[in-house]
Amino acid sequence: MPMIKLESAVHGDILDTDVVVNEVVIFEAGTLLTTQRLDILKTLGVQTISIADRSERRDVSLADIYDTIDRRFSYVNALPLMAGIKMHVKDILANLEAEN
Amino acid sequence: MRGTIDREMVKRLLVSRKNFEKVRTIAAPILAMENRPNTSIRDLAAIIETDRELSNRILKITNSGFYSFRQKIESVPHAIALLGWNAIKMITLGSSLLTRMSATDRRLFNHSMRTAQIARFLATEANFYKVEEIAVVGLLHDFGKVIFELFFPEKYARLRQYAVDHGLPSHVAERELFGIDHGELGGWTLEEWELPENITDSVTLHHAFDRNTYHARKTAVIHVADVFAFATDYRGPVWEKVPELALEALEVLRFSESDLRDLLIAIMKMRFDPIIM
Repeated sequence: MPMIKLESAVHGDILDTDVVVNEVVIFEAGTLLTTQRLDILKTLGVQTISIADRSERRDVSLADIYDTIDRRFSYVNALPLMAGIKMHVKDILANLEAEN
Repeated sequence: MRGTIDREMVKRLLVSRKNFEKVRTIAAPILAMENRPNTSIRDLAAIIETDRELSNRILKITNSGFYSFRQKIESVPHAIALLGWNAIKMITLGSSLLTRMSATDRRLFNHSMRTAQIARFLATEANFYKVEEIAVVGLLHDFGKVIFELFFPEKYARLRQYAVDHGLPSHVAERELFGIDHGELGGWTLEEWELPENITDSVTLHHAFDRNTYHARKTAVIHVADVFAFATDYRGPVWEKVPELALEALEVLRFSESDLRDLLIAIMKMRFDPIIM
């Protein structure tokens, strides 16, 4: 899998191997690189990273993420307080995605 | 597989195995030291300098590009003065305890980091005096899971499958099958290492919040931070279930349901930085 300079990485790339700084795993293999995460790696002085082949890149739709959220909340869904939190999370996420 | 795990059993395992020797000799004394008056940088340095690996790690991190100090830092006391207590605690815990977590269960490690950062944010919003202490409890809150994995690996693997099959959060499955949850197990362990009660209570009760306990406010922060860490980790695995939030924990912190949205917005915009907690 391609080893690239950090400055060449773009939002949407996926890490092929863990990024380790000072023996601490910063991001695991499989992590989707967002602009924020790329900033963190830059701040930490990471020079190169290994990313998955970009032809295999798959954007996860908001609907897929909503489905994940629903399934993660399944144990507490019947509780009004938790249903409210789930609704907020989905709504905030949609707004953040729109901002990006 | 149903059967209880009792405290005496855990105590014997902790004594007979030397897995966490550095926690007992290095991390626990450092955490306990913070609650004692008149503790100096020299006292802290003296403990750290008994462990060459930890001393080297602290100097390596202090001199890394992450901190970008202009001059090279060559002594542990100098590093402590520059980095501060909190960073030193984090590095010490990372070296003696979280390294194991990171190696064995990275999801748990990442969740602990997230919870610590959210706990610090909530503690600040709730006007806590010692927010850094709360961050440390956040780091440690799921340590019982590490003990489950280490001392009861086969049982715990079966428990995980049971939780997945029945759609349960881990603490509910643990109570059903072992009679205790990872909060209690972590709390017992930290008590054996003589960590301060304000830390052990919050770890023990983070899934059994009770507003009538002595350290209820601290426990409330960890409880809420843990639930929020799960709730906002929207790319996490679907088998990992968000646990229930106790409304009274929000009330103890003087948050209301109408504050939830603003708190969640702030958390979802956070940069989760695994080194600077």
